[in-house]
Amino acid sequence: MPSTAPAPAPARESIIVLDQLCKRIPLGGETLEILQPLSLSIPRGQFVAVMGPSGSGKSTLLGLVAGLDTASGGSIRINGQAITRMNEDELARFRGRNIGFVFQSFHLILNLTALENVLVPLEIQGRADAPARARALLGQVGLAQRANHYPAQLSGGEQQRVAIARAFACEPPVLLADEPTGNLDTANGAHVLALLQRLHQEAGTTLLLVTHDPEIARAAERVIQLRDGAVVEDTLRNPGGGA
Amino acid sequence: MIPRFVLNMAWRETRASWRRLSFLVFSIAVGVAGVTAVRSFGDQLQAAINQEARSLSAADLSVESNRPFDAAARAAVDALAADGALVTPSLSFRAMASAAQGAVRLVDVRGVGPAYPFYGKVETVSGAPFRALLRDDTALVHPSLLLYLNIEVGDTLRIGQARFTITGEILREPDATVALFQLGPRVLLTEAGARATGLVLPTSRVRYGELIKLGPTQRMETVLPALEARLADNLARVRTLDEAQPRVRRFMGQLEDYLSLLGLVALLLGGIGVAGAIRVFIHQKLDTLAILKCLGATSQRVLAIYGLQALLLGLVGSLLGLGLGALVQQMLRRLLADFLPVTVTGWASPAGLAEGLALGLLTTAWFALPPLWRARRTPPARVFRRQVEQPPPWRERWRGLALTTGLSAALLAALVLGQSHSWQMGWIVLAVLGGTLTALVLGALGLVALLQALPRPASFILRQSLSGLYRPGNQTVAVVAALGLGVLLVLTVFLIRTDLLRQVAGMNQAQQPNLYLIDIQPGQQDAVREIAAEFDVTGLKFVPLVRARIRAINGERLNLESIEDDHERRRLSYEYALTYRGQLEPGETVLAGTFERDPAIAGAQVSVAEWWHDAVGYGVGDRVTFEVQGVAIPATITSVRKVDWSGREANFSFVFLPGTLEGAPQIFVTALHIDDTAHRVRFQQLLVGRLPNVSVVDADQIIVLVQAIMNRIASVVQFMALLSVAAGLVILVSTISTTKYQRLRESVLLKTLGATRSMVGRMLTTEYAVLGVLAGAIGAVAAGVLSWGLVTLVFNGSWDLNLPAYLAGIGIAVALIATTGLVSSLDVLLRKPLQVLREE
Repeated sequence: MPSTAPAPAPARESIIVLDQLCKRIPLGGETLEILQPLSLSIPRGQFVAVMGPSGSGKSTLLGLVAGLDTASGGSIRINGQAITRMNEDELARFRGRNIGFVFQSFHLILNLTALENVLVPLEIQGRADAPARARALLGQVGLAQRANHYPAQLSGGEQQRVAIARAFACEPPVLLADEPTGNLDTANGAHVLALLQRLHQEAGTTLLLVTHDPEIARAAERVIQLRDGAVVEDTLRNPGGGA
Repeated sequence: MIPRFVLNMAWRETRASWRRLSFLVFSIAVGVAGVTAVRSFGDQLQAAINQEARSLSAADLSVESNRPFDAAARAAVDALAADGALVTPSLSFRAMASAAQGAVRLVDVRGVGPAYPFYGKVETVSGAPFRALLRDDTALVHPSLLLYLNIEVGDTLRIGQARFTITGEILREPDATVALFQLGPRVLLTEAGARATGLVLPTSRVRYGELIKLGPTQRMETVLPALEARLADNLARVRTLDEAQPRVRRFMGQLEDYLSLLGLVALLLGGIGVAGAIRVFIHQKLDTLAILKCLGATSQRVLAIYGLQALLLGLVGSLLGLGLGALVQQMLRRLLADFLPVTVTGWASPAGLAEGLALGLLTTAWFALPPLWRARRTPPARVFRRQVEQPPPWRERWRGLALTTGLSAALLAALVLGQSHSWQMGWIVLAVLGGTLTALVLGALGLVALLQALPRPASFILRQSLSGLYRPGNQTVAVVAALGLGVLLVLTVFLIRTDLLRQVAGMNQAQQPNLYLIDIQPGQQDAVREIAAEFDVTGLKFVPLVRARIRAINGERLNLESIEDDHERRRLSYEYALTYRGQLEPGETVLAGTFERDPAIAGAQVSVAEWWHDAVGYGVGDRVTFEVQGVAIPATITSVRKVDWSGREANFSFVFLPGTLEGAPQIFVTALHIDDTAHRVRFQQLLVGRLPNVSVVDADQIIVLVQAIMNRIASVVQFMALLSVAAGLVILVSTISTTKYQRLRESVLLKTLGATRSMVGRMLTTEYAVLGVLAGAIGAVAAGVLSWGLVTLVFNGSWDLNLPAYLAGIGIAVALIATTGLVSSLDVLLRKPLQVLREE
C-alpha cells in the first residue's frame, strides 16, 4: 500500500506520539481490525487534519488519542505522558488539563448558559479567575452579548463558537475536533474555521481535526488520509502553518 | 469541603430541572408528613398523659380488689393512714338505672369518698363545683344518660333500692376510662349513696378501692414496695401512677405503632418514587455526564454533583413534609379526640420534626444512590457515538430491581425494628408487612409479565396503550404496588368493619339472645323465670359463675414473681370465672381425657380449655388448686376441651364437674331473646322493679358501642391509608411527567400518521384504566386474603365475599388513576407538540 513517509519535523518536539497503536473488536467468530498498527508523531503546535471515508477509523483514532476509548495494542504518549496505562479517573484529570474538545454536534450542556458552559472546565480545574476568563473567551468568539443565553436560544454557529471558547478555556496544549463544521452552513463553517485557526495560532495549540471538509484540509499544515484503518497518505501542505 | 465546581453544578442542575424533579420533592414530602405527624402526635399524647398522670389516677396510688377488703388489706391501708397518708374509698359497679317514667338503662355506678379526688377535678357541664352538687341523695351523670332516659337535671333516678336527684352532668372525671369503651354511662354517687342502693353485696361484681395520697413524710420508693410485699398474697392489688390509664396507654401505643407503620410505608413508597425519578432523570442526563467527563470531571465529582442535587431536593421535600406533617397531626388529634382522656395540644413535636427530617434525607440518599452509582460509570466516549439508547438488558434491570428491593427491605427492617417496643413484635410486624409488600410487588410484576406475554390485541388503541405500560422508564410496578396498598388498607378496614357489624347485628336475629342478664343472685332464678314467662320466654338456662384464682399447681404454690413470661404470668394470675355442669355445650369437643366423673379420682374434677392448656402446658392428670373467697379447692384436670369462642353461649376456661362448687358463693347469668323492642324495654322495667340488682345488657347497646369504636378506628386508619394512596399518585404523576418527552414524540408521530387528538386521548385513558384495574385487582385480592385472615382467625367471625365492595375498590382505583393520569397528561393532548419538543 503506498504510503508517504511521515513529514519530518526537526525543529519542534512531538506532543502526540503513537506507537504501533491498534484497535480490534471481536465480531462473531472473527476479529474486526478497525485500526491497523499505526505509528505517528505530531509536533507541538501543528495543525493536522485527518480525512477519509466513513468507517476508515478516523473517529476511532480521535477517541483513542482523547483517552475515551481503550486501545487493543500499542501506546499513546501525549505531552510526555503515557495515557494508555491510566485508569478512567486519571484520564479524566488528564483530559481536563491537556485536551480540549470540539464536537460536530456541539455537545453544550443544555441546562447551562453560554457563560456557564465555558465556566465548567475552568471550575473543574478550580481556577480562581474562572468568571473573568470565561467572559473574556466569550468576547474573543464574539458572543459577549449572549453570555446569559441558553444553547437552545443560540444558532448552530453560535453554539459551536461557545464550544470553541469552552475548548480553549484551560489553554490545553492539544485540541481535538470531530467534524467541527459538519453541522454548519458554509458561512458559519468558515467563521468557525477562522476562529479555530486564530486561537490555534495565538495559543500555540496543537490541533487534530477529523473532517470531510476540504476547506479545513486546505487550511491544515498536515493531512493524514485513512482508509480501512490504515494511513494511506500523510502530507505536509502548509509548512509552518497558517492560511 | 465540597469543591466549588460541584456546588455550582448541583445548583445549576437544580435550577434547570426542579420542575421535572418536583415529584421527587412530593414523594418525599408525603412520607415525611406521615412519619412526622404520627411521631409528633404520639409524643404529645405521652407528654399530656405524663403531665396529667396524677390527675388521671386521682391519687398517688390505690389499692383495689373485686372483693370487700379482708382484714389484712384493711390493716395495710389503715397502717398507711396512721402514718400520715390520706385515704378515701371508691366503689364501682354496673347497675340498672330507671327514671320515674319507667325508662331503664345499664349504667356504670361510681361511689366516691369525701376526699375524692386527691388530684385533678371533676368537671361539670354547668361549671358548678361537683362537691356542691354531690350529696348522699344526689347523682351526677354523663350527659348521654339524660338522652337515653329522656330526663333532665332535677329529675329522679332510681338505682337499686335508692332514689337520687340528678344535680349535674359530668364533663370529665380524672380517672375515668375512655368514654367510648364504656357500655353504660357514668353515674357518680357518694360512697354512702352507692351503698344505699343495696347492690353492694359480697357476691355481686363490685370493684372496691381505696385511693391514697401519701403523707408529707412518706416516700413512694419505700411505701410502694412495702405495700406490695404486704399484699403479695392478697386479692387486693396496688395500682400506681405509672399504671394510670393502662388500657388507654396500651391502646394508644398500639394505634401509634400501626399508624407509624403506615407512615413508614408511605415513606418507603416515596423512596421508590425517588429511585424512579432519579433513574429517569439521570437517564436523560447521560450526555451531560459524558461531556463533563470529557471536560475532565472524575466519576466521584459526577456522583457528587447529582447526589448533592438529590439531597437538596430531598431536603426541600422533607421540609415541605414537616409542614404537611404538622397539619396531618392536627387532623389525627381531631379524629382521636374522643378516645383521649387528656387534651393533646401543640403542633409538631421537636422529636417528630427531627425524625421526619432525618428519615426524609436518609430515604432520599438511600434510594437515589443506586441509579447514580450506576450512572457515574457513563463512558465519556458516548459523545462520539450518538447511538440510540437501548433499554438495559433484563439482567441489568433485574439487578436494579433486586438492589432497590433489597435496600427497601433493609431500611424497612431497620426502621420497624428500631421503633417497635419488642423485638418479637417487631419481627411479626415486619413479616406481615414485608409479606404483604412482597405479594403486592410480585403480583404487579406477574400481571405486567402476563400482559406482555398475551398475544397483542387486535385493537390499535388497546395495543398502543398496553405498550405504554412497559415503555422504558415506566414505573408500572411501583404505581401498582403503591396504589394496591392503598386499596388494600381502605378495603380491608371496610370489609372487617362490615363483617364485625354484621355479626353484632346478627345478635338481634330471631334465634340469638339479645338480652343478657348478669348478677342474678342465688334464689332469684324463679323470679326471673316468672317475668320471662310473661313475655312467652321459657326454658331459661341459668349459668352459675364462681370467681376464683389459681393458688397452686400440683401441690406447689404458685410463685408469680418467678414466672418470666409475661403472658404466662398474666394467665396464671387472672381471676377466672368458673362454672359447673355435667354435660358439654354445643360447640365444645373433648380433645383429651373424658368429660365424665372418673370414679378412680377423689375430689373435685375440672375440664380446662385448649387455649389454657396450650398457654401454660398443664393438662389431664395435673392438679390445680383454686381459691374461692379464701377457701382452697383442689381439682384434678380430667379433660381438655376445644371451645368455640365465637358462639354466643357463655364460654368458660374451667368447667367443674358437678358435686363441688354448688355451695360456693356464686351468681348466675342468663340470656334470652325478645323480639320486639318495646317488649324488651318493658321486660327490663319489670325486672328492675322486682330485682334491682340484676343488670341487663341489651344487644342494641353493644351494637352501638362496636359501631362507634369501629367507625372511629376505621376513619383513622383510612385517613393514614390516604397517605399511601397519595404516595402512589405522586409516583404516577412523576412517571407520566418524566416519560412525557417520549409520549410527546409518540403522539407527534401518531398525529403525523393521521391519529386524531381524541384517539391519542383514548389511548392514554385506556393505559391508565388498565393500570387502575391492575392496582385495584391486586389491592382487592390482598384485602380479601387479609380480611379473611383477620375475621376468621383473630375475631373468630365468619367471612363472606363482599363482591360489591371489591368492585367498588377496583372502580375507585381506576377512576383515581385515570383522572390523575389524564390531568397530568393534558399537555400531551393539548399543547402543540413541536413547541414542547423545542423546549426539551
